[in-house]
Amino acid sequence: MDKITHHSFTLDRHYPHPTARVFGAFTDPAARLRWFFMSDAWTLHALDAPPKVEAQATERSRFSPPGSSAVLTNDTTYCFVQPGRRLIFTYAMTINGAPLSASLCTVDFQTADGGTRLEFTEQGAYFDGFAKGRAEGTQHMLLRFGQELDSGTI
Amino acid sequence: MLNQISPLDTLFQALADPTRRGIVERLAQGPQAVSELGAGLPISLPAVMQHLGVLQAAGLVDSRKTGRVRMVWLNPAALQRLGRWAQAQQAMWETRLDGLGDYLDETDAKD
Repeated sequence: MDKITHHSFTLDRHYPHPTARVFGAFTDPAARLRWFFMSDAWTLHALDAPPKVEAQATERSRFSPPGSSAVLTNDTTYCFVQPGRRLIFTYAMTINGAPLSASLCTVDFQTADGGTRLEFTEQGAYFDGFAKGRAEGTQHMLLRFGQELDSGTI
Repeated sequence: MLNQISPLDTLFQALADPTRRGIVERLAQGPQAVSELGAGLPISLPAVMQHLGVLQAAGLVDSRKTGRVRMVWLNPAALQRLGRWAQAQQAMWETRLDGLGDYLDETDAKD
């Protein structure tokens, strides 16, 4: 149940915009509000964003998935900020107060093909808790989801 | 496009309903005929069909009609996707980075 999975993934994107703009949009608080916090159907309850993304700056947020009262938190701390070039940050997530994951992320910005290539790598420790075996896994998933989704008004 | 619904959001939405979670719980014991499933639930058959439609759209269940009997069963791949936060996190970032692209495109004219 209380099992940790270590996992890493890399996402590659090309944006047809100058690197300075892409880096700016990635780090500007007003821009982040739109693409990071409002780009999916989740409900944002609270956001404490730093005025400037720099080393040791922290960003805290609380939000819920669509149709659910489960509350997730994201605590981000920037480790290194190389303007227009690279960001390294960590973030820890919880769901209804229980640990969900702790991750280390590297975001590289490179000028390429008349725009910007963004390479996002996450290395994390995840509280997966997904037991092997379908029935057992399903029951565990339902138990966990029931707890999460029923915690509020659902 | 902003405010797009990711596959993960669809899964969350599908499971936000207690009746649908009850259906998934029953199907966890194995495939069932829709009529058999409906008989064990305190709701009408059309309501069961409607809930199954939502679960199927979210990829949580699959169904097939053989003769006059429609069988439904859980899609283990969807449950695994749901249970693995590592993959959930990746899906979240996919959505965000697409959102960043949309944001850049939409604000382009203002530069």
